Amino acid sequence: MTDLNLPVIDKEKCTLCGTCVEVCPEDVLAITEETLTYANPDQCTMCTECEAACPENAVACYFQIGWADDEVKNE
Amino acid sequence: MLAEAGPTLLSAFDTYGWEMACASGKHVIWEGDHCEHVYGVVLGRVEVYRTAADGREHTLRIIEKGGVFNLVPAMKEGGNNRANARCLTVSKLAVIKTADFRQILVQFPEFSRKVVGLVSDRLNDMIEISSALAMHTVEQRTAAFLIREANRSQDIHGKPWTQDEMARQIGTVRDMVGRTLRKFEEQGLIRRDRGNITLIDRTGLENVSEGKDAT
Repeated sequence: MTDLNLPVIDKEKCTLCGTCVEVCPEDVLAITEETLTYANPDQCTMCTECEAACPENAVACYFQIGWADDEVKNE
Repeated sequence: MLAEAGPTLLSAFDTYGWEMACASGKHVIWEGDHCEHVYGVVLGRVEVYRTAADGREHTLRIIEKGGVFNLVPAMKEGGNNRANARCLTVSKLAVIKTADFRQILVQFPEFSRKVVGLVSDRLNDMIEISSALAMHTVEQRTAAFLIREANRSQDIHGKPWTQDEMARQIGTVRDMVGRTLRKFEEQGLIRRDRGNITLIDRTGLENVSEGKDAT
């Protein structure tokens, strides 16, 4: 199941170029043993810099859109 | 479209139509090609979109189970596909040749009336889309999109969106969506928290979607 709090990596598209690792301001991603992994997942703020930088469109940051609880009550 | 269809009509579709399995990402039709088939979605999700001269793609609609696409150009002989369609997930499509589909329309007037109603709905949708693109700013369209999706997620589990997917729906580019969301957050209209975009000022967002000031 997709964790909406982390970028989703399409490993078939990923070429391990390391661009996402370089641009990440929180050092969330790393390449270890020829795999792109989450080195510091708790640090991720979903800033989407990795998604924007990936030349292969292998990174996707998903957002769930919803009303705040008090706005639901005010409808 | 075939809900409540009688056995004779279903038999006609069984005779002339067939099913096609499609991998995720497969392009089903290309804009401008000769219109040869009408498609129904049996399983999965299909994105219908158009491509601008600069390569930008604009999503016209997402077709889910039970929906149909490539209906409008099929209504007239010699029509060309008006948009592209690709499978967003592994999908199963029901396919029928346009000539056979038009023959069924002639044979089954009640079904034909239903199809006319569907085409009318599509025309209304296109009028809304083209009006929004022509007359509404990116901020207005983004606010409207956020409101629509937040409302939808109240009834069913909402689909999560990437900024690129949002841009395709709104008719803009990813960077503009990012800038607009940042602006909305600064204005106190939304709150962004990792994988969530929470709409916190309904009145403000509705004002923006209508072209008024947020406050």
